[in-house]
Amino acid sequence: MRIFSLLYNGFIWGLLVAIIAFQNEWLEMRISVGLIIPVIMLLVVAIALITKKRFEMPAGFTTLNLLVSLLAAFLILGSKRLAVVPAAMIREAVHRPDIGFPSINLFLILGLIAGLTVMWLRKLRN
Amino acid sequence: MKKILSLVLMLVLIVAVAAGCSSNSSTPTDPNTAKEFKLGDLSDSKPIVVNKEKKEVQYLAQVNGKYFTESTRHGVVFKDGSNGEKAVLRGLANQIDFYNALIEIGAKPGNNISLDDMKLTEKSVEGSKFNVFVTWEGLGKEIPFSDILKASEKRPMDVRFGGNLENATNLKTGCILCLDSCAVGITSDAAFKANEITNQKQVTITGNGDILPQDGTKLAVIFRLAE
Repeated sequence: MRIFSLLYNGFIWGLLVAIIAFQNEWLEMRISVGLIIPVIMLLVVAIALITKKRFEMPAGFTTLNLLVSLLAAFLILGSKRLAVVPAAMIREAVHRPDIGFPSINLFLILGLIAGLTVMWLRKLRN
Repeated sequence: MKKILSLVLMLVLIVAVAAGCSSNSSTPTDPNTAKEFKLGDLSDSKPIVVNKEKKEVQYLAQVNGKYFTESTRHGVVFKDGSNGEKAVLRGLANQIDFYNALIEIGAKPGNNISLDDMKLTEKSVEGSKFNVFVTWEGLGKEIPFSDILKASEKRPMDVRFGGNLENATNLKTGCILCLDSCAVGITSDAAFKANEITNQKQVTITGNGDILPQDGTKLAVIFRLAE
């Protein structure tokens, strides 16, 4: 569960960093900025494993992280672009231009909710 | 508790995968993904059609809805080029075949812009002039390519056959139609100087979501040699 929460939070941060990078048109035109997401995820896990102090990302922290990052993304992109940009970045990164934005957004939302649900159920159990 | 967790995850995964798969299979009324797509003489297996009598090249492309809200300097780029996901329209035939098709109808390449010129914003692309149109299923007519764009500064399009075969082959960007003069795009808009949109950052161009059909729709881009 520790690795799962690290990957989950890493995904959120990766998505936010990718959104920020996307704002740089020069960069956006030259690379697939969606690839920043797995890089950040791996970085988060690597740092957590390397540091001697064991740090946790409990459900409460993760929820707050998700909400703050969502707000930041909304402030950066606005509602119209928020419905397009993350999905566009993800489909470009996975080389699947045939997948429509609504499907990717649904997958994203369900995945984020499911991940958070798992963490909270685990916390309640403990 | 573990069983409940597993069940929840399984259900969410099934729904998510089903949602993803349903987007690939498309709706029953969507002709773009059922069997082989056809639009006039164009089809998935024949994404370029040359008409020597009309002196036109028809080119199959697909709407990239990302650029309804984001700006770009790429009009049409071949999907497998490095810029394949950076254009208003995702091209379905490669830039070399497109170049050869234009030669076949008697167009003359300008080959006047070098990669160094792209830093200077001084030259405009030369070569045979084209009138460019688009059409898609259900539209019933051809409309000028400029109609599917929204530009912060309106300039009449002046599409020229830049040529650039060597750069296009070496750099593999896949560029078919650039929205300003370009050293790599097979065709580009002479109304803007070399790389003007990127260098000067004064003009932004997006796809026109009010005119274009939805993301993923296939359409025909018609390059007609201007007399």
